[in-house]
Amino acid sequence: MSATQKTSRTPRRYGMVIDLDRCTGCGACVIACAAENNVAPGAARENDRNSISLLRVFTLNNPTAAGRRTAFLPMMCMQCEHETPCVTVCPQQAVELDVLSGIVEQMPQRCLGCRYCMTACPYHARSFNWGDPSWPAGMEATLNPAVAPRMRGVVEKCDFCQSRLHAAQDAAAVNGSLDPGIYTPACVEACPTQAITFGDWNDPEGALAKSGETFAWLEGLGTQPKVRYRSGQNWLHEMAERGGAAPAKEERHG
Amino acid sequence: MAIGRRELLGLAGGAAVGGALSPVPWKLLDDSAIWTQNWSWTPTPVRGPVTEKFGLCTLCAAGCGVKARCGSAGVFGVAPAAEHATGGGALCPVVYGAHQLPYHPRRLRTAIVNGHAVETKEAIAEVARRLEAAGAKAAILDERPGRIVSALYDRIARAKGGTVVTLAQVEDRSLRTMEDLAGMGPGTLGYDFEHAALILSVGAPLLDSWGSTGRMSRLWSRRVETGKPVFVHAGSHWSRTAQLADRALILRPGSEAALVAALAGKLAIEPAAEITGLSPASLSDLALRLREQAPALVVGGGEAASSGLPEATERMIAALNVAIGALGRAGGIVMRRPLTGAPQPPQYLDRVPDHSLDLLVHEASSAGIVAPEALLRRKLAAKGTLVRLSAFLPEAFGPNDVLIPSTTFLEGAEDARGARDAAVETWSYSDGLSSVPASALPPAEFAAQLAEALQVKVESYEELRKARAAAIVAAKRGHVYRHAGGERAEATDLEKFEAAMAEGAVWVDEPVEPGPLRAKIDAVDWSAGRPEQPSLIAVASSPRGSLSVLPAVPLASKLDRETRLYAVPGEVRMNPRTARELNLRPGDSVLVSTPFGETRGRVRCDAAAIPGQLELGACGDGSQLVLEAMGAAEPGAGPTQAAQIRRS
Amino acid sequence: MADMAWVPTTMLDRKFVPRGVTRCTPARFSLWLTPWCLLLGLGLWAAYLCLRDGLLHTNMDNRFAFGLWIFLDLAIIAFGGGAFFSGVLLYFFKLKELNAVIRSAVLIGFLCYSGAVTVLAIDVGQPLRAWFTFWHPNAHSMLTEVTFCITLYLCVLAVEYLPVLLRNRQFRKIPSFLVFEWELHKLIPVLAGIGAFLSFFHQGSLGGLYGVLRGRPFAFRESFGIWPTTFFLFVLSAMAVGPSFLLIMTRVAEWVTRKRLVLESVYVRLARVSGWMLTFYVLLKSIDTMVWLNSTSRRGGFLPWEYYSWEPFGVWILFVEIGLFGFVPALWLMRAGKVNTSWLIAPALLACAGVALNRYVLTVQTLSLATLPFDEFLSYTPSWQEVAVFGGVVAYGVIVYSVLYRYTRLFPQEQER
Repeated sequence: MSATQKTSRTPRRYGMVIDLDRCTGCGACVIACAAENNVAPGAARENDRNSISLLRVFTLNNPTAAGRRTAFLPMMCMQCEHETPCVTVCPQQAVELDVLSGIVEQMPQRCLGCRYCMTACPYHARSFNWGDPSWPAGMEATLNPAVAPRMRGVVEKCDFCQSRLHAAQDAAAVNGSLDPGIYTPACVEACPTQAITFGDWNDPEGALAKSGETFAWLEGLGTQPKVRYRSGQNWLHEMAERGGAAPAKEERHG
Repeated sequence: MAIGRRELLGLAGGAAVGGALSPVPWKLLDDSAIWTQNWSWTPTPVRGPVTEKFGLCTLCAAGCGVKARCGSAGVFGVAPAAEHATGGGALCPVVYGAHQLPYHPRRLRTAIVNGHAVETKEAIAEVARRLEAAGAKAAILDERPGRIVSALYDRIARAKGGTVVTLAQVEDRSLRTMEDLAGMGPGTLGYDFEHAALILSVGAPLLDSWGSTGRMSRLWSRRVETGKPVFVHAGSHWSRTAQLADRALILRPGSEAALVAALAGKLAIEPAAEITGLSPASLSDLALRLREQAPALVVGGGEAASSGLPEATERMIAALNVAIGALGRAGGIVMRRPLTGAPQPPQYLDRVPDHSLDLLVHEASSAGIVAPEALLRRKLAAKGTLVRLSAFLPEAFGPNDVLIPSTTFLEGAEDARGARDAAVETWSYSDGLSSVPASALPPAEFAAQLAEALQVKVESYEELRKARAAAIVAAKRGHVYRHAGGERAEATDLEKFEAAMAEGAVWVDEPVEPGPLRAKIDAVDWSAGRPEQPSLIAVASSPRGSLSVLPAVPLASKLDRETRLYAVPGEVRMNPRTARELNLRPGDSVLVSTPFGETRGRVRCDAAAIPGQLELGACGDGSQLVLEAMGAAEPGAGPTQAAQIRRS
Repeated sequence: MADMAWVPTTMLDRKFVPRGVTRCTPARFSLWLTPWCLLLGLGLWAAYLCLRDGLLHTNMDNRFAFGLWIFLDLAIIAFGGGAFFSGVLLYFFKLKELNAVIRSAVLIGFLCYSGAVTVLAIDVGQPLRAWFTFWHPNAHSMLTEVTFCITLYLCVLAVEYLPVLLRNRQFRKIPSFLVFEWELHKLIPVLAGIGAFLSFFHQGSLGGLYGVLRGRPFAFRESFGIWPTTFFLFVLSAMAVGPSFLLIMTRVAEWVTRKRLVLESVYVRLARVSGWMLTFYVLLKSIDTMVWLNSTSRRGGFLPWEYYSWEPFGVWILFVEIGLFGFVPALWLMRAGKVNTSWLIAPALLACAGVALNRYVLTVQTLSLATLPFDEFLSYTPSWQEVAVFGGVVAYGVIVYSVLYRYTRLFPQEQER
């Protein structure tokens, strides 16, 4: 290493701003995410509660009469910054907040599968491998070589496409830099309406800083999520400010 | 030495302590942990160099550009080709998992004739025999007309007296009526959405399964910044487009004609309001806005999982477009030049008389085009033959059917003419990025072998492609967009043109200067009936690209079953209130019947569903029954159907 | 022929039965064990399925990541709390009456804890990696505390129980066992102390599991230092309900064996201790609930009424837990000695139900309530495999208890009716 090369770098705080007014709920991000991260096609038993969903898109209905009827809410791991609920609970340090990237990292090889982190996550952003992942015969050829498929019995979640971060780091290293810069996670690349902006919250000139007024879900919990949202629709702001869910009269019988 | 109890105990104790101090238990622990990370049944990806190549999505006719990530085992990821003329850096959701299609468990690996597996050669010989016998009663169904291979189909069909037909996809339906009224040939009109100030969709799925995703997505995204175009949706159910639109008007099912007539001023507001169930104020407001927020544009077509609006309503929509000045205006319906070197456009299958064909050759090599099985079958005479060139085993096939395995996504040489609704023609081609399985025939190869078996003399695919490239270069129009470096180049040099195209570039024609067009709208019948009001309607939806005769991409379950973004196949989604009124509980097995068919499913209650609507998923397996029930084989049956439901 | 086969068995059986007490015939005993063995077999089969294919055999899912197993684990560990608390009372507070039940208490504690550990080993996705917690412990995690305490305490309980086992008349013939037992016996108070400490932390950290869940405002509580209030409430509730559970189990054992196993005064003592502790617990629980409802939860942006607006978990559940299953048995148990002793099983059952309900609410209600404002209320029904595994653990407890009752003197005051 030459003397001019930097040996340390300013930590990044990768995050996202998702523009809910642009999202059409097409689901391209969901499939791109699954393909990028070697998530096996859902077995017949899998549904919205037990499948591996690193990124989900929720359908939100406008409770007021004014404005659009529906909004779609892409939600992945929010990469909480403060007292990250899943990091503190993991008994064997399989979850860590990387200080250099701000990404909450999940290590499936270390995971015991106790699922305590899943109960701790207010965003339900974690999935457990209830069974062995399996691909139809031959389909293993379509696996992303940069991502190891997870074994059964471990928890996984969005890590902002860690393999792409590593690729960016490698590319930077070739140029003698330690800073991977702003790379592109799969969902950001796939979004047809460019609703997802990926960037660095530490960068005052970056895309995130320029994205104007943003809000987060469950901000009251004080976990400082690094995935934030944008919308010009008031009802979405009002909904996000409320914690929990009071049932509509119709569905009180859960 | 006598060995007593004390010694044995000592030995046991010593062994325990000694064992714990030895590496054995620790090594065992470690190994067991390593074992859990390397189970033989958890696949390991093949490592190796990664390259990026540009290819062509063949799931529908639009032919969006894709960037494929290729590893040593094959394509492992798909990303959009930025700024592609058709895709515009956006793709349909299912395309991101389409590289797994070649490994779909339902992949067809052998030709099948009359239910028996045969050699592909034999199957083609059999098709040739039957085609010869059928003569004028034979047709080739070209799902993506305008390709090089379309010229081969055209040649074959004409040599034997048959015809080439195509399917009217949702984005075709309004345009072809307009073309009829304007006396223009098929494929000569397109929508200029980009310059429109207001787009009124009459039941058209503009924001979910319409044309090229990239185009609508860019428009939608731009709308957030500029506020234009304004999307107004008028339809008989809360489709996704209705949910997202700036303004949504929910009509009584079947009352689209009354709405359009009122907007055109051919029906008074009050009776129209009464028929449609809308308020007179909203109707007159919309009528006013259509004229004042110029340029405005009205789009029909109905849902993708239906046969669309009645022809009479489509004629009214065309006439309304003429009335508001949308025809021939920038931001309206504009003329486009037919693709240089392309054969005569085929006629539409739904306009072919029923039971008039003895043989229908369905080239189903694209996996995302809506081809209702029932529509295909009803065009065939009794004991007619349906030949299908398909990469997958269809859900059902008749005793006389012939199946020939084809290539699928990113396999083999393909070309694409671009989206039907685009304002200009485009053309791109690719030699395929994945290896072609030994059993599979690319469409061009199929056409060549068929021509050979019929002893029809045709040029080779390569010759035809070169000829078209030469014709385009000779015409000196448009430009070539290259992904590498994102540069645009003039299409003036054949060699450079071909070199760029081989890398996945796309040729884009020049737009035609908008000018006034005439259409005969005097003959349009403005009478709007008063449809009966069903208490329950059925609607069907699925993500674009997944609604076809063929199985959905394996990851598509992420869009329905695993996220509930779309109606789940095999489920009947309804509001809890509707379920209570029908005395149904979640999970009940039910039979949903419409005037056109019936389909089974399980009840799912969802407070987000609209009372009185039954939502059916039409993706992958079982979608054919849903399509049939939705009247997709019945021209003009409307986007929603009156439904009845009972426990089964 | 059949009779011939029984002779040696019967002889062998007699040799192990403690002197001075009578036991039913081996045949009768086998008959009693048969259904339990079948249940154990079913449980083992279900456990095997879960280990073979993964937890897809359960009805748990990403949202209901904890289910029947965790709830029952928490409940039986609370019930097993009688073991450490009786030890404390006996060895430190010198409540000599408890000598009559201490062996049974320790055995119940051991069975509850070992059963819970067994279920946990099936409940986790990668049981072979369980030791990672010791290798890469996360000091911030309540679950690390739980794992350390449960492992160590299980060892302590085993050692604590060993003397009782060694006192069997056949084992006593071995001199070294006798010496070992005698030496161990001197250690018992120390062990009881260590056990009490470990168990205290274990119960507490189990409660802490939920109290620290910042992301689950229904469970999140104020903290003292690093420990949330649920830490202390779990300890207290286990202390309160442990003696009650012991009371119930002793009563049940008396019914099953149709014998007097302990003096009435023991019941009174257990009930009083339970009653006092319960009163203390319920008072603190009420204060904690008020603080949570009015301050903690609101600060997180959650209005408390929202929690209770989903059927079937209405406000009634709070009143049942604190009132019907809290204050009522507390007052009743405190009056032990003044009320009919044979009726004391009723308040003891109520107290146990209250603590079980508390564990249920924290596990099941926490997970079924939505945190995101647009989310749905969730429900979950355990699969047969989950129920069977748990049934197997109960069967294991019954079988081991029965066998040890038969061959060791669990109750020193045992007398024939």
